[in-house]
Amino acid sequence: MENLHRTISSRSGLHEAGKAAWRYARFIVGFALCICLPNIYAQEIPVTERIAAAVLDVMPQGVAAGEAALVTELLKDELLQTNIYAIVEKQQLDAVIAEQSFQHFGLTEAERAVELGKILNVNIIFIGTLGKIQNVRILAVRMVDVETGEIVKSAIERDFSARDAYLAVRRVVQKLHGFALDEASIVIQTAERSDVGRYVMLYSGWSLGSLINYDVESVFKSGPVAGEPIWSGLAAEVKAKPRFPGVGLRLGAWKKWFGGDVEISALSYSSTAQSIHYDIAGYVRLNNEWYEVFLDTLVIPDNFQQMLALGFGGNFYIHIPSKIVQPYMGIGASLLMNRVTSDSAGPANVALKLQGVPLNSTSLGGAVQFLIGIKYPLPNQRFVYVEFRPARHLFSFVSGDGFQKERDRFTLQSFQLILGYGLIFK
Amino acid sequence: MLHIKMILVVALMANFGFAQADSTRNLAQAKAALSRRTAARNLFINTVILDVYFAPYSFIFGVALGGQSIVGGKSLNRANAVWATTSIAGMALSLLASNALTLEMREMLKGVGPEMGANDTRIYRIFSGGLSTASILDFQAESVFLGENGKPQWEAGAAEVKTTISFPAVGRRIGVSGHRWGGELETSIIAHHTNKQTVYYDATGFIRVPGLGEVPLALNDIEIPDRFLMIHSLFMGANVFVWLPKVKVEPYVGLGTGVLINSVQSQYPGPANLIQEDGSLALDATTVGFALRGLLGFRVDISDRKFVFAEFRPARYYYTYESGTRNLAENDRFTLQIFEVQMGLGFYIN
Repeated sequence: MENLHRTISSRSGLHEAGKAAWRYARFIVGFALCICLPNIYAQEIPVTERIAAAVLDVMPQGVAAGEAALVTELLKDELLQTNIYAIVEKQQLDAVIAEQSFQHFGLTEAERAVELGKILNVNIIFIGTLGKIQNVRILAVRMVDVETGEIVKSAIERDFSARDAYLAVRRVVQKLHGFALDEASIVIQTAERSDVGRYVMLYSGWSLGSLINYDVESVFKSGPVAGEPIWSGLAAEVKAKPRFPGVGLRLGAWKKWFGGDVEISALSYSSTAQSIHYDIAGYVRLNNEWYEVFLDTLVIPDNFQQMLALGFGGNFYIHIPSKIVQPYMGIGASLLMNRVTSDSAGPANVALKLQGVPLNSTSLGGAVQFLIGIKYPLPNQRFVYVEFRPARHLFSFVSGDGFQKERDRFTLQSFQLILGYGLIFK
Repeated sequence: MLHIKMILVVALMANFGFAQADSTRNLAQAKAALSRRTAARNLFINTVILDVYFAPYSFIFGVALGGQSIVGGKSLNRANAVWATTSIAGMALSLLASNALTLEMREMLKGVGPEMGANDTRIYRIFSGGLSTASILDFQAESVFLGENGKPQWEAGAAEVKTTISFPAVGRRIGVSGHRWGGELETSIIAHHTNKQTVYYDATGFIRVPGLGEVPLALNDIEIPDRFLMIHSLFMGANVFVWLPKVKVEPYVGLGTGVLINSVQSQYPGPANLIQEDGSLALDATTVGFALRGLLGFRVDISDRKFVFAEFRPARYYYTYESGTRNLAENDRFTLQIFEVQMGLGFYIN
């Protein structure tokens, strides 16, 4: 047993700060060699100095027996790779188990392992369990000292997919022996290989946009032409500028080829100073009289109308799984809470130079968007992404005051370039 | 009539008190007889039955008491407070009765039985409150009388009428929360009233005015006072939601729909008859409507049994009722567009 501890300790010392003397010696003797051979498994130890050990079959708990059997083999292989142990052959182990099994009623697993170890004349027995709790895989391995019957070490690895079994076993063995964990590689591979990756992303991006098909009509229909809005008009385009970069939060999940997320976003625009070419015709009522009007141009000041669209929606996309970059494209839709404010009551009040209660409207709207982007995976379950997003936000609200009250509808067309940062969750 | 109602409530509560004692006595037998699934089902059924009785009863009772306050010359704020107190008291009575009748079920669900696994759904209760901003959209009114062309004698409409919240929304829910989804039954109340404003409306047709004959209607405006309409609603419905990936908090998104019991009260008979009847409730309509809403919120567990949540819910409540008197009687309908933020405390039963 003392030999065991000495051997393991010396192996662990390669990676521990406390073993400064050993590391210093290594540094002096072979700096280049140490750089070239970061994996301690590459060093050989004479077979005669290895510790005799046996690995009992890993017990399946809620997983397939075949999966547990495979993990057993992976465990043996990984233990052999350490060059610390001489593992007893499976046939020899099975024969002893078959012969002794009837004698072990009432013994704990550790006690049974000790009994088997004594018969097999080994120093160490490895016993393990592979199970699932709420779809989360757990691998637990214990190292039993046959001489004392004590569990000298144990290690657990959790939340890994079937594809990552090899990495999980490798990490368990590393934990048992105090070796440095090759975490980065596992994390990246886990994120890439996982059946389902769940993520949260924050993004922000600047955009270009304009209001198209700005459709206005009076809310009143009892004018000179009964049944029709007393006036109506259409502007093909109204120029607008973003007030602040669009921001958003996305929560979602992806599989190998596709993914989807739910998104909360905010986008704000305001109109710029311009002459709007309108096509307005109809009647207006002033001082209880009807006047026929035609309007072809409306001059509005800068920030005449401010728009804030708070979106709650979802996206669906297909992507190409890749270790380097993951291009994707998709489509999304959102329910919008649109807030439109202005120092003026509305376009009709401005056109007629009539004062009114400043516009302050909150209404429901909708948005559709296309997504074209690239995700770039980073270590430690993070990623960044760049996305180009053409979108259309639909606004419909009532503005104006007095008999100039009008129903406004327009589409905010935006072309957004987004930079985002994401975290992956299992 | 009021006294009779109060006696009824007291009698019912006494009955539930006996039920509680009885249910405690038989707890052991009930535990043996009920499976966890049955207990959960019974818990829901009992809660629904009690809510269906108590919530509308107390809501209508509250509306009646509030109306009596107005008739008695009390302030509109006081009338609103009376309504809110009565409605909340009714919901509390429902909760007490529910607690009494479902004691054995909740006791059974509290324990971890052999049927319970890590993937089992959790049953919870929520008490919530919230603030909202709302406005009336597409207010449409039409005469109840038909003209010679078979259409209403007159029609009028206003695109938007501004409102203010009169009392924070209050509600309670019981629901199940699974690994990926959840569903809940909700009972809640809201109260809004119209602001003082000039409403510009569109009108066609004519009104028959004694002495003047048929007076044609046209585009016009009307100055309405504060609380021209006092709107109270009881929502009884269901929400369903799906969980989003957990990020420290548990976000979710969902939809809800339900039946509304709507009360629209006013000291004026109706928009077409804007002569205030001081010290009286000229309009007091109670009707049934429906509601649609979206949900976006998140939960945070504060212990094994408790959680807090915040939720944003855009909603649309639909109202139809009859107002006005005599030849000015009219059918009104409008949509109350609400953007509400709710927060609350939840308790897991199992």
